[in-house]
Amino acid sequence: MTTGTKNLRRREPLTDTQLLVTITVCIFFAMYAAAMLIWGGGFLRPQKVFDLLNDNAYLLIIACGLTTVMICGGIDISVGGVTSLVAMSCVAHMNNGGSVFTGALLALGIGLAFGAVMGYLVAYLEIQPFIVSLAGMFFARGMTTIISVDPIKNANEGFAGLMKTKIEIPWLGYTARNGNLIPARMEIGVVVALVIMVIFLVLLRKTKLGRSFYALGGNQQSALMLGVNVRRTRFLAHLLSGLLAGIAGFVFLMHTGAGNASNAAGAEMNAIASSIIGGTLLSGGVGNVLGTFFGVMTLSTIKSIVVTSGLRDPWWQSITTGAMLCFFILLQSVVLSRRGRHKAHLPAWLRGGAGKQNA
Amino acid sequence: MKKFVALLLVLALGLCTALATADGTIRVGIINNPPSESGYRAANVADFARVFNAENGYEVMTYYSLKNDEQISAAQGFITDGVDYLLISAADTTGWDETLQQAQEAGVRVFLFDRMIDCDASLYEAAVVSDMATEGTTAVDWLKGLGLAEYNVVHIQGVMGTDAQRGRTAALDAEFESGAMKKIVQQTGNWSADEAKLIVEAVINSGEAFNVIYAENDDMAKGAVAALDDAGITHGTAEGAQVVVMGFDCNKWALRELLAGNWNYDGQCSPFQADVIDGMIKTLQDGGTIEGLNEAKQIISVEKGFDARTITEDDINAYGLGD
Amino acid sequence: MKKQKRLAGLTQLLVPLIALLALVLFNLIRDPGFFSVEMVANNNGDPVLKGNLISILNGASELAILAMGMTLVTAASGGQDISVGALATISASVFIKVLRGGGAIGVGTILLGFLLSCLVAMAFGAFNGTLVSVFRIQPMIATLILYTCGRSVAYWINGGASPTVDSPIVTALGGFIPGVPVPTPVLIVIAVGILFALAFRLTSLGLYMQTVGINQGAARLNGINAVGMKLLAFIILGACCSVAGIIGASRLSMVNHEQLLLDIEMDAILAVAIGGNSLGGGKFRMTGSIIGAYVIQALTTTLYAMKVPSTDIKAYKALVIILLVVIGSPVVKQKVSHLWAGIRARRAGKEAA
Repeated sequence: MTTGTKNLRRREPLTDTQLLVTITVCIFFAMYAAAMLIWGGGFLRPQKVFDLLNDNAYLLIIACGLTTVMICGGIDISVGGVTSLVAMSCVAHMNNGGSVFTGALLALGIGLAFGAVMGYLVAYLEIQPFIVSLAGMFFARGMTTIISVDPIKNANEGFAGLMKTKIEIPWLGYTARNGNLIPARMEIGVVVALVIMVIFLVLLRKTKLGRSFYALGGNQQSALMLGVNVRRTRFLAHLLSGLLAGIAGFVFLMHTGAGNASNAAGAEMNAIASSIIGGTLLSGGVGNVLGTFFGVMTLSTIKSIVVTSGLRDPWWQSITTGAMLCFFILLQSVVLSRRGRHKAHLPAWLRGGAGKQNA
Repeated sequence: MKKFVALLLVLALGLCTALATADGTIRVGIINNPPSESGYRAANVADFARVFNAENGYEVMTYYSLKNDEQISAAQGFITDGVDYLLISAADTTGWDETLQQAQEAGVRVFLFDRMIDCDASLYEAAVVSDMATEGTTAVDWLKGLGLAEYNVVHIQGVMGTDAQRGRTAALDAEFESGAMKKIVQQTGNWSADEAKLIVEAVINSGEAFNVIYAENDDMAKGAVAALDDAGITHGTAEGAQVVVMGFDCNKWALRELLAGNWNYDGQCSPFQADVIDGMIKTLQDGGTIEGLNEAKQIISVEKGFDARTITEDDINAYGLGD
Repeated sequence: MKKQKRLAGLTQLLVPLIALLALVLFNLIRDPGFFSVEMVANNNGDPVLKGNLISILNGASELAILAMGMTLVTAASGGQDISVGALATISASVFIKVLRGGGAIGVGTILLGFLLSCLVAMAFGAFNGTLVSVFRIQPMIATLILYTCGRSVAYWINGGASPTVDSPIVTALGGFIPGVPVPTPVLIVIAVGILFALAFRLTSLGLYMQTVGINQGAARLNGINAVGMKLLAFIILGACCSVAGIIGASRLSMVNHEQLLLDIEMDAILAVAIGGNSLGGGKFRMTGSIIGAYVIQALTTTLYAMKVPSTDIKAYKALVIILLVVIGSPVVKQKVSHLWAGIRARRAGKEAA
């Protein structure tokens, strides 16, 4: 990747992260363009993009937290459960006389509590993060149904007003079949998600804490020797993940307006898949919030394409998603292996490049 | 930089589009649970596939999910895609207000089927649903009609919060409140036969006496009966049978169990709503108004319960679902 | 040295054994007749055993088998396979399809069904294994693919909601063989356990899996085919999934693709962790995982017996799990052993004085 001696400014080789993110971004745009060309219709409307954003605002927030934790080499599968618990608690609280502000505080509080407890168990007691977050997920889901088995619909007027507030962009709108001009609408939750994304982008790239996350994930021993407080850093990563899950719960509530025991079921796996597609490696040390954003968008676009393509049989939808996931995972592995990072035991025909050529 | 230009292109394209159905096909978006959920659902999905397809002049997009949030997202996607009609069987009764209002604003007409959504009646054209509460009261009335000396009921519920569970539970809860029947166990089996079996096993092992199993769907009744069989407890219509077994949905295999005398009662839940909705859509397309709706704009499917003592082979063929 | 090794192995089993003991004591205190077992006649007229203990042993069968396979995969690859539930459903689906294919269902059809479903499951296991061993992808990520689409594949194989079969042999497979009072799934678990024990005793399977898990490079330098071992672990897990799936389908002679063994992968991973095995790979004790599986099932049965609403069960389960893993965590173990060493030193000091 280094250019010749003529260029005084030496171009640095792309890091693993950047390469994977670039691949994801390119594939996303290629897919969306293909969808626009092949199926047209809804894809040609900017509202589609806003739909994708609106529906996945909470997933974006969760995925940011999960990316942070995964960069440290850990994992947190409790985020879906915490989101559901927060949504249910907040709606119950606001229906019983709480205000929107106290509801938001409650959301943050629950998220922080979960993050703190799990962070302590993982960082200071050195228990496997998978088990701790699995227990956290069970606990959160259980608490959700303990609060209320039946769904609770929002009855708080302040919150209803908040839900209705949307950012409208009329010139990006479309004309509906009945002649109404529907402006493109973006929910507040999306703004929250984008702000969080920017904050984490800055946090991970530019701050010392962010760099300690990467150091921790890359090699724990080296990080220790570099003077990184391993325990505290890991604790903070889980704390942030919990906090974001709390915020995501509130945003989720803004989107659906009701608390429900089965809310956000499977969200953690979607977030992990998005992070993976976005170039985060589970082994740690590699990850990028921008990639995660495009990972979320890619996953939603795949689902949207599958639905629009008119595949009637119900099983094709998740089989196609699984196949796309497989494609991404394999692509990442092959790309990284050819760079010599992971030295996968690729078959000869996938190896090649500057090596011996097999006939 | 390149990404920016691409984004601008997308936006520019979006500015100048209007969607029209050139050839007069009616665009329909159907949102339902996956057919693998139960025999009822499979029959329901097949019914809709039979009616709503290209031969009958429909351009159909479908989405199947057990998750309410995914269904809501799909609905919003369909609205943006510019469907003419939305047919929804919601996984949950809540969370749909926003989406239905958006549909109304975009001129997309909404039909509900199979179960209700908790929202204002102005947000949908009509709802062709089963009256789950009536299903519950029919079953409970039948149970009371047995005239047993005492009712010790093991109540196995469906997924909490679903329309079917709420309706079928309500009638029984009323009996528990009034003291006419005793609640031995009330647990959710989440529509799963395995969970129902575990629940009933636990009750049997605890030694508490019961003589009625009220399972809110056929699969769970099957699991319950398996637990009874393992413990040597007799059930059904045989002389001196210890436990009365009740199920819902009327799968053919379940109705055969009734005929064989292993179960006592099965409540019908009709999955055949597609023809009715088809008729209503055609009425609207011709500019007419839909008749026969009650105040809540519902058309209630007429459903009944089957008694093991009176069921016939013809009934199974006429009303049973599946094979 | 040998004594220390034996002690180390036994202390690993300490946590799951203590958990089991605690549950047993708790239940006995709450209800002295909890573990009573009696012989009754089931509705076919055969004598069968009945009781909470039988419930626990019977209900944990699929979990125990999957935990055994999961232990092997965890040990060799240092990661977890989250697709076991989906894989078991695929196997069950193939099994039911074969049974519904021919006319009458005889022992031959069942064997054919078992063989075919085993092959299919092992093929998918090999798929997972290839992703992990050849492409060096993290096991949890690699198995995320089947986790996402496995149940849909199972549904596609059968194309029907809950296809049922009607055969006394299948009922016997999932329930009781006429004349045998012990539930058949329990017998199957014992058989699989014996198979594993023999494999570990007669071959170097256990040793190689551990070596590959501890240090892959060193294993390769010692002539062990690390890639092959990891692949083998996943294939064995595939076979375990197929057995578990068949048991699951036979219990009620039907397969419901959405519900069968739902979320069992989490329970299987939990069982491995409760058994004291490191989720990062390396040394393992299969006995620990098996005990872990029964602990989880005992917990569920206890909660049902206490009439805890099934919606609350998850919360209680979570608390118990946290307690167990905290007790079993390395930091706590260190503190305990320091305490213990301090007590022994003080005692030795007293004796010397």
